[in-house]
Amino acid sequence: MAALWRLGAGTVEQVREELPSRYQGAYTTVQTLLNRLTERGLLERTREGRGYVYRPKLTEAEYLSGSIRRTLAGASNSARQAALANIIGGLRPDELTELEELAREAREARRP
Amino acid sequence: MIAIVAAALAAAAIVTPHLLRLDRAPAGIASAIWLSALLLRALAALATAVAVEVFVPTTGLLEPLSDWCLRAEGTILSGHGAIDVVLALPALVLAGSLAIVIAGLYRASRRVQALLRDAVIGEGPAGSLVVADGALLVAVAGLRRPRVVVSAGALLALDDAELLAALDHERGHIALRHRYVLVAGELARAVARFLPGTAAAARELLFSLERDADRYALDRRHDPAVLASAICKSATQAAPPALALGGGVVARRARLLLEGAAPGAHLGLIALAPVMVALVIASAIALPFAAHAGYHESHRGRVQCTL
Repeated sequence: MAALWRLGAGTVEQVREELPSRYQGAYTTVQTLLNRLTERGLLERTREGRGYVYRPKLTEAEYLSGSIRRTLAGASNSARQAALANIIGGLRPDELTELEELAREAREARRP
Repeated sequence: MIAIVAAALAAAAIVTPHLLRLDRAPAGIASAIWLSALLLRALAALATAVAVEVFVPTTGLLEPLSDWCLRAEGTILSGHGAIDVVLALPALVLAGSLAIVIAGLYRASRRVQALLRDAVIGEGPAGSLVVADGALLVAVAGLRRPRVVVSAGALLALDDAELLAALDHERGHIALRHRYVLVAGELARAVARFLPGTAAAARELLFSLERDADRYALDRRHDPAVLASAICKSATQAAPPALALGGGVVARRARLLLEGAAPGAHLGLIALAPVMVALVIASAIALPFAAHAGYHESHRGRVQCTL
């Protein structure tokens, strides 16, 4: 996304060249990633010539805007939960350490 | 005598869920039990306010105030004295608490609508709406026409399996109509907030609803470890305090998912849910009649305040 934000729009090859050298994977890897981001609704894709040009559907400023935080600021926790039930449900600051441990367990449980 | 038995029964029903291990009970059953407990708490708070109005005058405690009358001719307060104001206080406090919570729900709902209007950039995977924000959020937004919303941050942070499991979890909230339970629980919590243990009951209701949505996702062939991973990632990468909602249920959910399938629930536990629901209905029907009868009994022969 950062590469596309810098370019504004670009083909697979242009995005690949824009990536730092240590992240420059194969052409197909970058293409798969861009197609996945398109399917997820973050990019739009238009055909130009023999290939596709990818454009971000949101700007970097929008990504960093904190609009969710600003919009919900001031609403009480329980009212927020009723209006915007999310996967977290409820989180205490002291749970974070325990959650990191559980995240590690979940990663290990997912290994085939 | 009947009143004492009814009060003892209601108290037992309110306390019992706190003494049971409902973490392993089917999530739908646990939700019904905790919502019933919250509603019984609200009814108990109302009954307490009624009891103050009905029984305190018979004790003579407020006799020193009997000479104080309100100067409000031509209004509904005309003919009432300081005693009436004191007796009405508990009911006014409960009504005020309820009004504050209703206003909070309305405000939160308007803010979420504003978020959907201003920050959505288009359709995301599986019919969701994408919010242009880097914070990690997968949620159900809206009460009347709920939609699953997913933030750009979540779309970048979650892998395919985690994202699909998280989306099915949220779809579970919609399909199982949890928003109505959440609102009913929140209103009951507002009325019963002065009873000890109400906050814990509200938290357990939220926990069982989240577990119910987890079960919905797992029924759609998602790996529990994948869902646990999505929950942990969401919780650790969301931007608290903005998304730090409620308290203390996330780690318990993730642990239950990682520990595997729950053993079958005890039949007595399953039978408790309909009993609790029946108690709520019976109490809600009986309370107005009891209040009406008690009010007339205690006010018989009481003279109106005259200036």
